[in-house]
Amino acid sequence: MSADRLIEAYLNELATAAEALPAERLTELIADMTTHIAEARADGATSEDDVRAVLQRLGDPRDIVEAATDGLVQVDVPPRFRLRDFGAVALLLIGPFALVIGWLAGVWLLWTSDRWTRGEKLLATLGWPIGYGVAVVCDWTSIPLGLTLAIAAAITVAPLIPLLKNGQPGRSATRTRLAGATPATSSNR
Amino acid sequence: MVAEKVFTQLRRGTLEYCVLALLQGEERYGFDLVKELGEIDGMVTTEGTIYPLLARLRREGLVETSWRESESGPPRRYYRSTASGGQALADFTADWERFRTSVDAILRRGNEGRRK
Repeated sequence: MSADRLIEAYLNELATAAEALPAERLTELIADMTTHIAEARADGATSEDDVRAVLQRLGDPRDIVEAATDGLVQVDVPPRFRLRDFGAVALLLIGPFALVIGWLAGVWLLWTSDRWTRGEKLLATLGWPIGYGVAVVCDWTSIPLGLTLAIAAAITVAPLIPLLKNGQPGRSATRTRLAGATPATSSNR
Repeated sequence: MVAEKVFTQLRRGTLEYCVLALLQGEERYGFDLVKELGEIDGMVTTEGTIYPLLARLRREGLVETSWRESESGPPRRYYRSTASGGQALADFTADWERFRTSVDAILRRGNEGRRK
């Protein structure tokens, strides 16, 4: 039946628009609308055109959701603490000294994370190989061993600092939702 | 209507008291209330927004609700004004009358000036 499909499409659109609402409000809103439509049909809105008119009078789902948003503020969901991101940095740092496979695992964790930009990932990946290369080159020259190690360590560690500092919230972690239980106040009361 | 935007604002500010007024000494279920408001000229343009409004009035303790079975369909949620809902309506009515008198007086002065 086409009237059913119209209703289904309308309720779907409403559910999508209401996604950011707290669960309790969302459930109640959908239930209220579903009941209203059922009542309207029981009240004589039977044809497809009747149903279309009922939905039109209910209005744009976005306007309804806006009315239900009253008293709520939009908040950014803070990025979650993710062990894997810290694991990536740790393995990049100490992995090479244990087994090369540890470092490779760090690189894999790094590139599969959505927490950093491509540039940061590239620098962090190249840090250890370049640091190691510099140490080898320095070893051939007359630079004291202590200084060689300091330079190599600096080159290795430096790219990891922005990873810790600029760690962007993961794209999958940045979401906004509506929150806040502060009831709207009215000056008339 | 001349100034649709202005009336949208006015409607937004007054609708909750119209809803409260319809719920004084009388219980109504959502569909019934929406239908009644819809029959009043210029009162409601988006019927669906009445439900979030009712939910807010309930959160603020101005209306209370109870579920009841119906013969014709799903169970109905009935709304009724609480004592503080009645008080809020009385306060608004007093403010509204003062406001309306002021606006009427100014509009009258403007229209008399226009005819000169």
